[in-house]
Amino acid sequence: MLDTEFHISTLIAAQIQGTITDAQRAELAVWLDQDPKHRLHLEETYREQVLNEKLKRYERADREAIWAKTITKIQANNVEQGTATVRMLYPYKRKLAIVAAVAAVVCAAVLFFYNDAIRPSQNVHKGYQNDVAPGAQGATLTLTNGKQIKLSDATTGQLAEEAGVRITKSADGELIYEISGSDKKLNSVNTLSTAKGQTYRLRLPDGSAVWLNAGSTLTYSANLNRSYDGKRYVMLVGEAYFEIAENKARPFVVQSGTQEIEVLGTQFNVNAYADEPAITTTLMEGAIKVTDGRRQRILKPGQQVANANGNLQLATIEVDNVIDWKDGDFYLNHVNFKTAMRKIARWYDVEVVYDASIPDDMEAGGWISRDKPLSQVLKSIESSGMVRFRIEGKKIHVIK
Amino acid sequence: MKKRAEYGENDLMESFRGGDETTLAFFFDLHYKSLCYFAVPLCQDTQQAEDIVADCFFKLWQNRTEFQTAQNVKAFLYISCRNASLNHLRSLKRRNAAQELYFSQLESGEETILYQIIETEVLHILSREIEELPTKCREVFKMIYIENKKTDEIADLLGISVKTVRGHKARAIELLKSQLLKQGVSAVTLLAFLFLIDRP
Repeated sequence: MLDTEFHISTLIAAQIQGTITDAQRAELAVWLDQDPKHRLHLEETYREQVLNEKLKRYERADREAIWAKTITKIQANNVEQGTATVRMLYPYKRKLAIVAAVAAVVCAAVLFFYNDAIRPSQNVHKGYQNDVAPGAQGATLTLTNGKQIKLSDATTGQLAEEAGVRITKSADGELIYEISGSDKKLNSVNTLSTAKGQTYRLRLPDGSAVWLNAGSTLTYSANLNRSYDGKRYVMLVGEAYFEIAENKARPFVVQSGTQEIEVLGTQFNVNAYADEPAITTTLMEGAIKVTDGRRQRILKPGQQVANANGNLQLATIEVDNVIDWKDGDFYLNHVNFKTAMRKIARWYDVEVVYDASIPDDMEAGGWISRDKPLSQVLKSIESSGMVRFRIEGKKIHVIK
Repeated sequence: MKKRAEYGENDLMESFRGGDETTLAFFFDLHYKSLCYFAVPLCQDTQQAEDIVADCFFKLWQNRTEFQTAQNVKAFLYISCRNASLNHLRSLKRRNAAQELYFSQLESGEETILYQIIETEVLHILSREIEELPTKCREVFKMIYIENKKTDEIADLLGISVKTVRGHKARAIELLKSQLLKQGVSAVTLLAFLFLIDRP
């Protein structure tokens, strides 16, 4: 009883405090869409001035008076029933005691779980004895209503039917969106995210294909529509390769931070990881326009634009270095060593620790499949003789 | 995370069912403000509302063996509060305009009451967050946002400088929002995204 109301109130409180998560925001959006009265409630009840008045009234309750009345009722009842009078203490000090007791239990539980979690890595292996398996296909799909589907576990076939959209998983693991019903309410927001060590491929309702690399998030509405200009629109954090179905009437826009890429129909890669110094956009086929604020660049195939804080730098590059991940490889020729290690860290979900002797401007080399365990990738890099590695739990130590 | 929370709660509920009066005090402290906030407008009478709230806690204690979760306790308190308020309004020979309005809403089972529950719970959460602020911070925050006091007035009252008051105010806001910063770019960009996609 009242479960929905209690849950919605936590969402609204999170929204007011600005602590709302993406999933919660999506859940709240569903509730707001259920009934215009819901939206009215949200808009009218919590405006700043009103809220202060309400909080003031909320704090006004007379604690002592109500507590005294409560105890009186209980004791009167006990006397009536002939049961022994319960010693009802004034709650202050007792309250502290119980809070402390609960806190102690929680602390103990935290310690218990924490110890359990770190036990395996307490066995420190030298060298390559504890290897790390490569990443795999997998992702989490979050629907507008907050429902999360783990795509690695989900069986093939229909996963969800959302207002006018059918979401299915094909036999080879591709996530497919199809517009099935009328085109009302297709603005529901979906988020596809991969953890470190995961990669995923999806086909959007316009027929465009997207490969999502490890540790990345793609956010899109089911009809891909951007309200003010009708363009197809998605948001990316992390790295993805796009094969955009041609539609001259509705250009496709990929937003990362303040950067926008606009295309008609083409293939390109966007690397917008937060831990990279720049957002890099690389074009394979067709033509694209990259915009950030007032700066703008038009790319030809084989060109890459690096966007560091709105500064757009155009260069011709080795395309294989960029889309290696999509083809299941690490292509490390003429790649900055630390950039290469960031790629590896995302795929094997490990942390790289550098010895002070490793310079920033060193180049990596070689080529290896991403299907291999971590040890083989590291060995192939080691064979260059520049560095040596030591795996310790989830950490790779790099030494000269 | 959930497991740990449930462990603590199970413990609490067991003590409650077993008749440990400190757990009643715990639930009392957790909910008395919410129930008052909820009942006062329904009754349009603070004294009456306090009686009703006390009665709800009394009933809760009488039925303590029935409750499995802390959320059951909360739901029970709200529902009994609603019912008791309705009974009170029904017993009145004359009702003023506001009482008449609430009475008809309650009798017809209108959902307005659910919005009032949501609103009360939101205030409950915000109030508890404010209580968690460091002492001086909290005092200043409450004086500004709840008591609508001016900066120099607060400086006088607390015997601190205007600059310090401003510092506490800024820190309070920062602490309340710190979760947002921790979440970083994703929350902000998603917000932007939600503004851009079309609405029905």
